[in-house]
Amino acid sequence: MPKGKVLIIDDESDVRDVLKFHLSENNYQVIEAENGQEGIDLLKSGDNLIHVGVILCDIRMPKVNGIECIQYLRQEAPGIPIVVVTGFPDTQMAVNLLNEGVKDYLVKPVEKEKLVATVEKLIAGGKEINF
Amino acid sequence: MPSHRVQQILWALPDPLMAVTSTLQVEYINSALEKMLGVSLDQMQGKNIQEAELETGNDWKDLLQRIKDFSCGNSVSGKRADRENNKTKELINDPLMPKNSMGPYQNRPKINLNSKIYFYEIFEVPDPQNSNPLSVVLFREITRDIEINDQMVQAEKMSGLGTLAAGLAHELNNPLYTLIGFSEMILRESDKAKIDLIAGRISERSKKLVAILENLNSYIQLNPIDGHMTVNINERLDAALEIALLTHESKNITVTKYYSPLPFFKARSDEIQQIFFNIFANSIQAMNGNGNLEIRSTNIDRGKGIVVAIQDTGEGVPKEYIAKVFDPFFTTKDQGEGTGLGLTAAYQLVKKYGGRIKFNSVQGEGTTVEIYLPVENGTAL
Repeated sequence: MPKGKVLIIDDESDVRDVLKFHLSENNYQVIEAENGQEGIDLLKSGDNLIHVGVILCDIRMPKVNGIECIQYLRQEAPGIPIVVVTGFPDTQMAVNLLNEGVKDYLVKPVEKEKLVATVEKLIAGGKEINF
Repeated sequence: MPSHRVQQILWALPDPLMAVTSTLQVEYINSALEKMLGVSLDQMQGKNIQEAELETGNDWKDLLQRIKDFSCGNSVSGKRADRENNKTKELINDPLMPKNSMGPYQNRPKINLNSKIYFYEIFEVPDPQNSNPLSVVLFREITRDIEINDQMVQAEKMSGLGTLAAGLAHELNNPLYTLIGFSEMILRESDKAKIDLIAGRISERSKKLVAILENLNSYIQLNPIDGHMTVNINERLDAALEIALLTHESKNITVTKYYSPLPFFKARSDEIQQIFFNIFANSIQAMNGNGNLEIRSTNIDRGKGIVVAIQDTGEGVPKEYIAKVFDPFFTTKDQGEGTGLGLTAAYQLVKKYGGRIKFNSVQGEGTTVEIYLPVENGTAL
């Protein structure tokens, strides 16, 4: 029985593979999308909206980029915590994203322990429900 | 206008002004110059300016020398000195420094007095009673302009560095992350076949990292003209195009080629390929994965020249930016998406081979880049 379902949105398949490897090893179920548009579609399909516990999202991606994707996700699925995983350390952007409701901002290369701990904490915290 | 009115106007001129004879006798100074030097017209009139005890430095001596040269009709030496100064400036050019770093006063003679900076111009006024004309020096204070200019240069430098650093961080962090992850996968894996597969990906990724650094190196450092080979331009176009299409979002891009037989070109083939790659990369990015790329190579001047035209149907560059496209670190892409060095490097390389590069763009319609390369002793293909 997996500990939870994680949606990874990143344009590089190598990066997705490594994130998936680290998370599967820790008993998380992973679904992947290679751009923002695909991520949104995937989230809407099946029962993903209910079961996805955390979204890991890159920033720099073709088509719908991370920022646009995050804005959309915050509207359509405000309860699912989003973690930005990017190779692009930018303090100002991190602050802005955190203000927009992003739960964490991890910079690649992110340590496996840090990644797993972040996902674990957010899944344990459950979804936010705003009344 | 009565002459005393003209005098009043000169006197009130906010810019310092002085008139001296060819022997440096002071004929006239205005009120602004009184303030600038801390002297009065009465004190100075008729005196030799070299004898006046003024607290001035080397700039002042230089100014007096220029006046002397000027009144002897010998202004060439001053100009030559200027030219030589410029030469050294070009040689030690800081690659992070935008062009025209001193603004409009860059090559003007300047004087530093009591921590204020003035630039000046010398012109002559014929004197009917004397065969030697008067030399008039008009000063303008530019302390504030230079300060603002310095700040702008600094800001541009920093933003350039920031763009480069952010771009680099992104380019390197992603592959590094996967390398760490893949090696961890190997540590956990006992199946030989799977280990081989992952090791293959590590090797592939590492090579990409090397390519990124090599690419960056060629941006920053131009190799001296050495190791020249005869390069087939059409082949380099194809090679550059292949890499550019592979490394960028290019699913729905159609490529049309009109290649003419070309003479061989003596150059380093990697540098020629770099020129084309940098332009292709921009074109492909500008089309956002959708559009037509037209590549045309022609042989002109009976084999003496090669023209390569690369045309895209991308988003184009706004008019106001066209003049800046070859500036280092100038980019219209988002932070981290481009270093702003691609066209700079292409420009420098084309110049290195004695060629020219032309950039035409219409916003919303597309961009055409035309490269002209002169062939020396070209051999027909």
